[in-house]
Amino acid sequence: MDIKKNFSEIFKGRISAGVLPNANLRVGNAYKQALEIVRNRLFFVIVIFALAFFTLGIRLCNLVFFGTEVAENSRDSELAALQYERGEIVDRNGVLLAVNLATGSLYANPKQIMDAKDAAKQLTQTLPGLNYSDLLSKLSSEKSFIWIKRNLTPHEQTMVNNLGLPGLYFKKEEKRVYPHGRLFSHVLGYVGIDGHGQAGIERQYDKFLLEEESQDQPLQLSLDVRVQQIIYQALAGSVHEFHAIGGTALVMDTNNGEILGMVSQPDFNSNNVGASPPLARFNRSTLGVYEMGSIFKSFTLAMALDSGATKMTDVFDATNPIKIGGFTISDAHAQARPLTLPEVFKYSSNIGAAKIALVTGEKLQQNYLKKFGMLNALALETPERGQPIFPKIWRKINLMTIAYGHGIAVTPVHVASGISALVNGGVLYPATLIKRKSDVEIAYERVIKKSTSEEMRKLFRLVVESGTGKKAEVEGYMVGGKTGTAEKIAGKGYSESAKLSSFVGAFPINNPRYVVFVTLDEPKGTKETGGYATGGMVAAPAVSSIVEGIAPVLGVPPVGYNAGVIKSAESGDNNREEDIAAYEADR
Amino acid sequence: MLKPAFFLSFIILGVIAFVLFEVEYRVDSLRSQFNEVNRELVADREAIHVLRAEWSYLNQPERLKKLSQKYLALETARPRQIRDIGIIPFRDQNLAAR
Repeated sequence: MDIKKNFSEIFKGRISAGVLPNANLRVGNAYKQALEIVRNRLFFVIVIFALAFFTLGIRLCNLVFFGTEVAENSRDSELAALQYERGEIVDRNGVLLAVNLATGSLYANPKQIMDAKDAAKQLTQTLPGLNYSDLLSKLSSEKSFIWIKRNLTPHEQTMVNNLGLPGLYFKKEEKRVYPHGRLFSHVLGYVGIDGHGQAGIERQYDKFLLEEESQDQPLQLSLDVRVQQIIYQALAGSVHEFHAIGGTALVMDTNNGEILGMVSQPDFNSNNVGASPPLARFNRSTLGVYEMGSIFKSFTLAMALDSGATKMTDVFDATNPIKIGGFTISDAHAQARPLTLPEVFKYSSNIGAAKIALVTGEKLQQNYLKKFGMLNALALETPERGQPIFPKIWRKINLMTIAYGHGIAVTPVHVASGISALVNGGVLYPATLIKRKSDVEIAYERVIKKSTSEEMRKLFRLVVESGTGKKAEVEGYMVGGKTGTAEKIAGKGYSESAKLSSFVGAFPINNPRYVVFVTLDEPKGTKETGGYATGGMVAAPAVSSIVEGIAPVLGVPPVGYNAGVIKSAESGDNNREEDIAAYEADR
Repeated sequence: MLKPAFFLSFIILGVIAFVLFEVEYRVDSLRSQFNEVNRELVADREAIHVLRAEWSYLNQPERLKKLSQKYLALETARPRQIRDIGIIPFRDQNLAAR
């Protein structure tokens, strides 16, 4: 306002000083008017400038006191963060099992290609797997975008760049890579072209792996890459040796249900799933349900002993096969004489097991099998979960056949969990593929008494020491276990030639830490096995080599020959003759 | 009265303008340095990521076994090779004295 005042005074001064002294009234009026206009205009300009400076002042204050906002908003100063679409999967020791890698996919704009023939020729020479005539027709088309090849390696990208052809471009993409190829095929599953998991862990944990937090915290499995390799080799070797159509092998921690290794044959390469037949993608360990045969005698004996229906010293007459409803139950290793309970297990007597089941009865059998988890769908972190098959109406014939593992079909993981419970002191842990956290208590369920578990361990030891499972023995590691040889269903009856041969072992049996389970589907006997393809002949040796391989890796010390060794059910038991004599006298 | 104040403010203005531009240029150069380092960081992290995958690939147990058989004369430890430390007797004191 001061300035305005000054100006008006200056102009007033000039007028009063008589700058134009002779101006008449008319001219003087016009002059006054002009002066008024100039004054108004000046006032207007001054206001505009004042406003502008005021705004600048505000902005300046703003920058001085809240200046950080500017730096935060500038996009190019963000801290580097590497984001991939999918989180990593690692084994229990942190070895990388699945990871997303950046790749480039090659595409072209045919309109910019100068010499389609030359480009097609050079590209087919550089990149394997491209078809010249296909590529030529694509490159000569009228489109402005065509894919040439997806997911090129960095080396291939360099070679294409070196060609110096115009009109070729790379699009940055990601590819799921499995550094261990076939080793974890069924466990991990695979990812589709859309980046979503299609099977196994990849599908089960699809949502988690796509979340941002899985970027810093990889998904840690309970599996151990070394154990996996050992069981993979052992199973592949056995499948090859005995010309089996397939098989499974798995290792479970008896004291928390963690699965340390799980393989299924035939398998596939996770990096190239399309190259394998659909049958190879079938996970026999978790989705396949099988009649397990004599391995089920373990459960039969456990329930009979635990419920008090029988004692270790009871005798069962296995002299003659049982005929029931046009069906005959006979023994493969027929002893044709009365057998003590441990002998029933040792010689794997079907007749004996059926008779033990008759003592327990249908209701008890159902209750115990339910407790062992054999009647429930598999609970495991994989979308491929098998549903057990068992009779809807539990007749006497079912009671007797289920006692030796026919008429009920479960997955191999069911068996491993159940056997773990029998040997670990009697508690059932839920099976898992995810590494357990040491600070989280595991929910478990007591299924048999501690004393029954002790007796079962002695029985398992007996089978390996002097029964059908001698080939599973590993010097120093005290393996205990049970053989199983189930005839597969063919048409309306059972086939004698097509078998599912298996062996389940636990070691060291005096204080079991791991259960090892191997099954072979339709193995054929060889000269070395005397033509036999039974569980004791074909699967037990595989378990033996697995135990030998994994025990040092897992830090299981060999059992001293005199210290802490549990005696098998028969050794030191001199009154077998007395038991049988007493049994004969009773009749 | 007015003139010295006017000149003083003019000089202050000039100094502030100079300092402001100086700071502005320094920030600019620091920012481009930061971006440069950041780019290198991303490239290094990407390289580490790829190398980790390669490390896992090169450590396939199957491959290590073959390499071990080729270059080392080592075999799997047998149970009889593993003994409890407690069973190794202490050195005989009389023998040690000699």
